[in-house]
Amino acid sequence: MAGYRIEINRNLCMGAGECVYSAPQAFALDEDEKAIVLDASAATDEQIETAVRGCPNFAIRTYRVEG
Amino acid sequence: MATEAPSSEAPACPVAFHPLRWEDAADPHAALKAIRQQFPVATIVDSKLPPMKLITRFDLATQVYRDPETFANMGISVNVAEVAAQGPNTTNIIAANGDRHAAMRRLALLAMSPDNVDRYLDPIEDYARELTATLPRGEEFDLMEEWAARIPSIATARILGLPDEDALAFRKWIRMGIEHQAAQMSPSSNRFEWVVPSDQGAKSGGYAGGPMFPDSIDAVGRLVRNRRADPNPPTGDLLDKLLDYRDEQTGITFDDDEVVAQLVTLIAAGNDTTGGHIGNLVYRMLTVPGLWQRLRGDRSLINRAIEESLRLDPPQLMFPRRVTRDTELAGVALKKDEVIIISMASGNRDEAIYGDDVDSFDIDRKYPSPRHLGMGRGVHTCIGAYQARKITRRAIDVLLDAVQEMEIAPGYTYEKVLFHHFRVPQRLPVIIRK
Repeated sequence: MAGYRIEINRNLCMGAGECVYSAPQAFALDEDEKAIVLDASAATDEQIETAVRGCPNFAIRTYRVEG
Repeated sequence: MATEAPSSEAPACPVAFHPLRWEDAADPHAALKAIRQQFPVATIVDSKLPPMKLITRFDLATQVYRDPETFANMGISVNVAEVAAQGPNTTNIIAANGDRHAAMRRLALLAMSPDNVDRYLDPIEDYARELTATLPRGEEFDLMEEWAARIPSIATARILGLPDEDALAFRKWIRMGIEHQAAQMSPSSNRFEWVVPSDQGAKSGGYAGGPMFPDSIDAVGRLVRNRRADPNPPTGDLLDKLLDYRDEQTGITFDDDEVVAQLVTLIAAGNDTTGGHIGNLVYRMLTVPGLWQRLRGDRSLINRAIEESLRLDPPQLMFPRRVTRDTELAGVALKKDEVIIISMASGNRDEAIYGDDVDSFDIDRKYPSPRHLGMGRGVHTCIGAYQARKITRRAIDVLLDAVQEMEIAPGYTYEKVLFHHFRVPQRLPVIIRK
């Protein structure tokens, strides 16, 4: 099954929470108000892609993985 | 889905309220509540303005914010013709869209990324501590002028690589520019002019409505000209990076004037907003029973107080969007080039999200994620949001360290600045008791 591996750039993440809104199964904010990846495979590809496009600080990078 | 009925024929909202009338902005919440409960997409009219739509509910505001292709940014102007005349290559990040906006945002992040902002927080806290130590004791003074407005002003200047000595002058210039803008945009102003063609307006960051920040542009422009005239310019500092920026993803570059305009926009956006946010928060700390002492005793609660302030008292009340194609929202037809106004002030008190107790300042309340609309939503989320939160946190911490008891001066009632977009205190006279 194909999916995404997700990286958050914490130097850029401002804690806007747009990724959490787009894909709540895959993202959360930690105690520093920075995004963390919960489970990339729990969200649909479309949700992940919406989160990447919707990040106001370009802090999410994804890599296609086969698994 | 487009419908046949032109939206201009939709009946006008019967609640007497227009977000651009500055007297309506003073205390908008009763009117916004009535509109929110009856007219999720309200047609608002004023004899001097084209009809517009007002979005008052949290979920619809979120939908609009997160669909920038259908609902394009236009700065703070509501004049579609003038914004269109400036073209897609606006120098105002707040009015830019698509690739242009993304490239401008990446340029601005050279200065305003969280990791860069973090480097400035300790020195800014030191500045705040020194400033706080100079505040008079036992006598009335204006906390806005003497304290709240100064900290973000210095912070913004330093983060953008500008000298401290210019920071307070910028604040004065920005305030003058904003009041000028208010006078031209609000239909209730007798100085109202609908269209003011102005090259200066375009140069100043595309704020439609006339010459906004000429002194600020001169001051920032001087720094850039000096750098260009320097036979041995420093390399690798922020100004060097800004002037030589080429956006890798889009190939977009910016000339010196565009960099200057962008810096001035960021200075303008970072001054009265954050200073006003700090002022609004301190006002609540002095008027909500027990709040001052509770925060003083447990500083970890300051972040909650900041978020509750941004929910209940967002400094920026609203933002306009231009509809880019015929569409509909909550069953109401929207026509291409119609203006819709998102009311963050209303969405932040939406009973469907926050329950019935929306008007109280409650740092223990439960929030959705993101918590509120106070910093906007989507790809245009305030680029200074991180900086504003961190600077406010440091400022409040410093104030609570230095001051055990402070009270609002007798006879004061909250009065906002003139600008209809902002609800921040014009003055906040206080007395430090101990």
